[in-house]
Amino acid sequence: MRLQRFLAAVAALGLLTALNLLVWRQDFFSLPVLVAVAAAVVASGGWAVAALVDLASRQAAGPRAAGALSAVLSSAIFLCICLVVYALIESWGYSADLTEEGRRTLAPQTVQVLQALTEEVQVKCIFLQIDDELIRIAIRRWTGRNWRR
Amino acid sequence: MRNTWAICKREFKAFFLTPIGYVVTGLVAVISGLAFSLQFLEYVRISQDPTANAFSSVPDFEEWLLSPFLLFCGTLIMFLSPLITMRLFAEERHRGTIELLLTHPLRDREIIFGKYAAALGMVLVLLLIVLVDLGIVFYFAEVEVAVLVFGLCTVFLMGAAFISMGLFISALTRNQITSGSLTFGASLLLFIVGTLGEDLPETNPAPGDWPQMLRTAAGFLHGVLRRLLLEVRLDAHARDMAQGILQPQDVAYYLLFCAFFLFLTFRALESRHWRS
Repeated sequence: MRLQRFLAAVAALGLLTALNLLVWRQDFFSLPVLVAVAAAVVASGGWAVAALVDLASRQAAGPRAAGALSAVLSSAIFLCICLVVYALIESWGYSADLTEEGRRTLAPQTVQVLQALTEEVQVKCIFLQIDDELIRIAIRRWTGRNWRR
Repeated sequence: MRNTWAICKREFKAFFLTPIGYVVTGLVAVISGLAFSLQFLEYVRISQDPTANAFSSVPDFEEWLLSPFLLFCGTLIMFLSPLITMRLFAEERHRGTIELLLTHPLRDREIIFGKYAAALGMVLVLLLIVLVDLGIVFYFAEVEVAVLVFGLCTVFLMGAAFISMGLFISALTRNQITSGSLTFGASLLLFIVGTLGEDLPETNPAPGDWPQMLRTAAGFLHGVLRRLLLEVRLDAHARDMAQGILQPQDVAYYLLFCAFFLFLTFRALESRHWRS
């Protein structure tokens, strides 16, 4: 139990350090960040193994461990079912526009033009209202750099 | 069904026997009313002279005012949902009345659905308060009914999701404050985690000098993490819905979210059999 707590503390500390280093270095793949993430991952893996060993050792003691294991497993299975259902519904791709004028629907002419496209096109957007956050995101996407006012 | 209804009525009444019901409804009335009035005044100001405010014509009412306001109400419910859910199971455990409830000839599902329905009833009360603001505008201006109704359904679904998570956390804890704090923390985490996803680059960020296999693995993990962070954000699915776009996956997200946390609540309540 003491080892489990120690590993949990190391994992939390590793994650916290990694996040702080990430903010400082602004690069996930820099060595300090990777080291902290690796420490957190190894510690959480160790914690999971220790927890399973502990659970298995208690198995003989009574139905408590079996109950806990069954609850965890059934929850994991239910989560997987939910994810599969969501993925199936998402793949359906249905969408309906509830506005009276169909403002969120492309005009048939626009659809026709888009369907007729045979090569990649470059889209230029002109925003009437300038939003700092929007520019920040756009510059980061296109140049990979951060932008500050 | 009769038992579920009885529990629902008892829990719903309990909200208004304690100050919680009045505090929550009062806060929603004040904050949503204030936010709506300020936003509406701003809309009126812009509508009077759109070109001076960088608009080519009068901005779309639904897009500019209704949808953001409904999303704001959903966020407001997120902040207040811990107050609604924290007492549902935690208080019963703290007072020891949970034993009384569980020894009654009631099924777990009747208890859980009864309490969940009562909390959803509170969300409906909050929606009615919001509807007062919208009703006034509806009386004076032309609002698209379909967009408004679907927007309200969106807020309700958001509320139902937050409530289901709060119900589960309440079933785990003995202390109301712990339950409320954990629910608030989890809701906030789900809310802000999407921002982190948006900040992650779309392309593989692994350095080019890494071995190809490692690069591919890092890219795959990064892609999965990014997608997960973007999808899990609770308000992301509500954005399109509040603008009148019906996409089954958005509705399914909230329904599955509720189903998952209700399932977890069942497991938490069941744990008394193997814990003792």
